[in-house]
Amino acid sequence: MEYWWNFDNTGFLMTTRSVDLSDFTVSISYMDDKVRHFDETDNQDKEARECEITWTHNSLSVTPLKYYLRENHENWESYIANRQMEILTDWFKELGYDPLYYNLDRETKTWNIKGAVETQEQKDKWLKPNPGNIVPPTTPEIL
Amino acid sequence: MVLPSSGTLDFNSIRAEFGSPSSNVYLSLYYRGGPYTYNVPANANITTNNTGSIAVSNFYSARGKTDYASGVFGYYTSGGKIPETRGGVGGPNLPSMGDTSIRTNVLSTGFTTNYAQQSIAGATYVMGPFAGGNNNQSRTFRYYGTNGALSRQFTWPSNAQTGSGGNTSVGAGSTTSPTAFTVGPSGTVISSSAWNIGGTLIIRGF
Repeated sequence: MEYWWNFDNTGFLMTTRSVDLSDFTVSISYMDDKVRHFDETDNQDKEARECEITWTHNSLSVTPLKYYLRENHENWESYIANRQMEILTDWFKELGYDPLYYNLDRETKTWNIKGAVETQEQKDKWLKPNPGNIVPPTTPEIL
Repeated sequence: MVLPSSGTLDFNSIRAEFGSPSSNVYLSLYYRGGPYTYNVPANANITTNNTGSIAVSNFYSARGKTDYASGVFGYYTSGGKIPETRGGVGGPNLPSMGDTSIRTNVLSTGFTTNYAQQSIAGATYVMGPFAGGNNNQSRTFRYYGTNGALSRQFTWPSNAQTGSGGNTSVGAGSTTSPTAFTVGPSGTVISSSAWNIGGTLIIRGF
């Protein structure tokens, strides 16, 4: 986690700038009973194993969370990705943060505070919102 | 894919088809219009939260969210005397598609874009991304409101262009453009105001 310092009327307030949740493990186990579905590609009722997918964080003290879906579900990837987003949000809340003030970077699985001023361009604009070099100077016409 | 239409249907089959975060199977998770079940005609037998008790027998032939996309359709105008306007989802200054997981054999993984825009340069309709080499010819798209009613429907013409792996963008007046809605507002599909919904639509492609 990375911290920075904000100043308000009550003194210095420590704010977490980013929270990296990427260090987790995803494991799959299979339920005992088979489940049924209808396969529209060949119009057949079929049976498949049901999977229990568990997300466990390796370094933070957060609750392991699960998801249940049958194997070879045609939307496996998107369902798992959506559930993983929910889990990263739930863990973030469990750690005491408010997702309202952060954005989740799906690639790095890191929550970053909104509105952070980081690049030199952002810093320059923060320090001087309307600098003279944004609009090039022009010579006014003589009426 | 869907649940079987007859025979034994157990709680775990429902959970495995629709997905669930819980080892306990709560049918209440799957009320029609809830977080795991769209309010669409295929799920008409599933009760809503307001219409009564839910039972396993509700779920024969029910569909999970697999076959649908969903997003909040918004509207943008640049302002001024000749504004640039945009209506729909997934375009510049518009909301992002919330659920991109629609399945047809022509859309790439993830359906992200569905909007019309108008400016002094003309009007265009943008949709996709369509998988490269596949086409959307004669393909119908349906848009349901959160109340389950069919809000909009149109069909691409039989000579629609082949997907390139990206979004398909067509101009008003083009012979390869979709023209009028078969269900929905009168007038052309390529109209930013026609997609100014201000709410969520659930999308199915065929």
